[in-house]
Amino acid sequence: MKNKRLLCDLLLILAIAALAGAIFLLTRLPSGEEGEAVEIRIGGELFKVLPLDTDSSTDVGGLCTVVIENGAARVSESTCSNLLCVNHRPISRSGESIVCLPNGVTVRVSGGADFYI
Amino acid sequence: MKRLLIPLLSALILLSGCAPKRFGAVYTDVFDTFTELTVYCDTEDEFNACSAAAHAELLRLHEIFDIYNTYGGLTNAASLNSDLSADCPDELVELIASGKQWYELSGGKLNIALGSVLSLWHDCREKGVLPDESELKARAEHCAIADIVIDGNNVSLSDPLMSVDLGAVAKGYAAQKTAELLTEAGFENFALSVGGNVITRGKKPSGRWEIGIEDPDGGLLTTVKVSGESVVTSGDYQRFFEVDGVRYHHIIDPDTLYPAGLWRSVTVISENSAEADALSTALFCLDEQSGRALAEKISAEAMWVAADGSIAKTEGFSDYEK
Amino acid sequence: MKTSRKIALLGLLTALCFVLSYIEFLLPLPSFGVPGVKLGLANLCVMAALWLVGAKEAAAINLIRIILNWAIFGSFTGLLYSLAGGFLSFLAMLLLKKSGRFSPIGISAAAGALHNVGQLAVAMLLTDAAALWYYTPVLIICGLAAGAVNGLVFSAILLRLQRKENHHE
Repeated sequence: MKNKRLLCDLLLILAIAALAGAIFLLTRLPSGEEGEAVEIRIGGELFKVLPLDTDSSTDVGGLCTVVIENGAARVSESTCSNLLCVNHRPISRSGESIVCLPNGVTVRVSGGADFYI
Repeated sequence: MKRLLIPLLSALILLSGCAPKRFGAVYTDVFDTFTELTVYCDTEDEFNACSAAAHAELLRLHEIFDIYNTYGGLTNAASLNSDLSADCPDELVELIASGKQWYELSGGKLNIALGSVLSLWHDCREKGVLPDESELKARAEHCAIADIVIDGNNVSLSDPLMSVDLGAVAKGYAAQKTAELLTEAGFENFALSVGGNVITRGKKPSGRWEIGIEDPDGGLLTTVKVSGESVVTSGDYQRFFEVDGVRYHHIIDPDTLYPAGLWRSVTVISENSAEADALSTALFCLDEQSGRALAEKISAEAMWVAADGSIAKTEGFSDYEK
Repeated sequence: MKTSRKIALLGLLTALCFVLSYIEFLLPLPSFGVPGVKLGLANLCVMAALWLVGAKEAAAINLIRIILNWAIFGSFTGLLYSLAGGFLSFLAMLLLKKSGRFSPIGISAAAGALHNVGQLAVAMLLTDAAALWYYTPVLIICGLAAGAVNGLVFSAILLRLQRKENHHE
């Protein structure tokens, strides 16, 4: 009885872990290449798109500062309480992101567009 | 576990084997601009057929709407302007009729009868000089949209000094027609940009088509993601010339007869490429309030970039930025 | 269980729940570079209520825990995150326990994963969904691991508590 339950537990945990693995494959594998730009959003609304090939420092609505250096983006300062965004390593690959939930700021690397107009 | 793994793996292999490939072509001989076609299909032969069909259709439409050259026995915009009355190809009649409708919709801000004024600006741009103001005003006397009369396939210009200029609407219309042709030929996932008039069908294997909207001051303003919609931007940075350090761009406000100065750029997202093209030109000359009303009327989304760099958007525009 | 005893136990669990939240607030886990990674010790009390008393009472403790946390440490958006996470994880515990197939370890592990899924869902609504998909696998795995640890601890507690209950009756 007890062993059967533990087996069920194991299967349940494996199933959930497999789901996480599938999401991992779907979200990260197709876009492993270096990105071209970062999209900065506040509360989901687009704030700015910055090219990764140009060094810059951008104040994001007084909430944090996004710095682009050597083709990678990072958050250098933030008004948030936990500073997870500031401690996050720089991002440069398509699909990678830095999320600052307290301020609702997201920084996401995007690949190039199909057309520029 | 094994029972699950094997079908999963084989599905993956099948999927990767059948994944359509990306092909692209560029044409520089249509609509005096840069045209780019991107298609996802299985083989290069398929793509070559697709590209040839698209190019032929674009060339055909280019000749019909051309106001500078005539092509043998073809009745086109140029021959209509010199003959003043002619039985025109269906596409020319349709585009002129829609131009007349857009005149009403835009309160006169989009005027395909503005040819005499636009040709003066065109000549001056080539020479790098400003047009004479009295000359502009004299020519503006011959821009009445009501003087274009359509009767069946017969189009006549009742003012001999007037001329039709379809530059503001032809590229979007051509993109629309070409996309319809490719869809009929069985192509599902492609995108076509006729001088910045982007029309999309289907999507990429990785998701929607992504169109980067340039910042008038350089760099990228935003990226919109679409699947099936058309996107077009009218901007003062696209075609211009400078006299004494002042920029004169190519979108002329019919009321002032000078380049419209309200906006740096206007981007439109709409179901129909012809509509998107016309609307972006109209919005470029309209104030924000009238522009919003017009965009809403034809259920299009728009983004305005003002002279000071501030940005306005219709409510649904941000949905395309996600 | 007698009503008076039940009330006393629930009061005790609520208080303990709050103490555990406070301990976790004082000793944050290494975050693995991801926002919102927690051990979720307070869930031990909710589980105790669910196993020893009943679903309604456990749900009440869960809700009180969330509201108290919000009143003392949190912001309104924090409340939304906790509510979504708390609701999903509780629902998971309830259904999995009812099925009778799983031990507290599996149930708690699934609840931990779903707690983070609930929080992610709110974050996706409030910010950029595409940016958050990137964190989803890590957060599911972290929730799973934290939940499993909680489940192990709870199994040990449950043994002792049940022995005690039996002794009293």
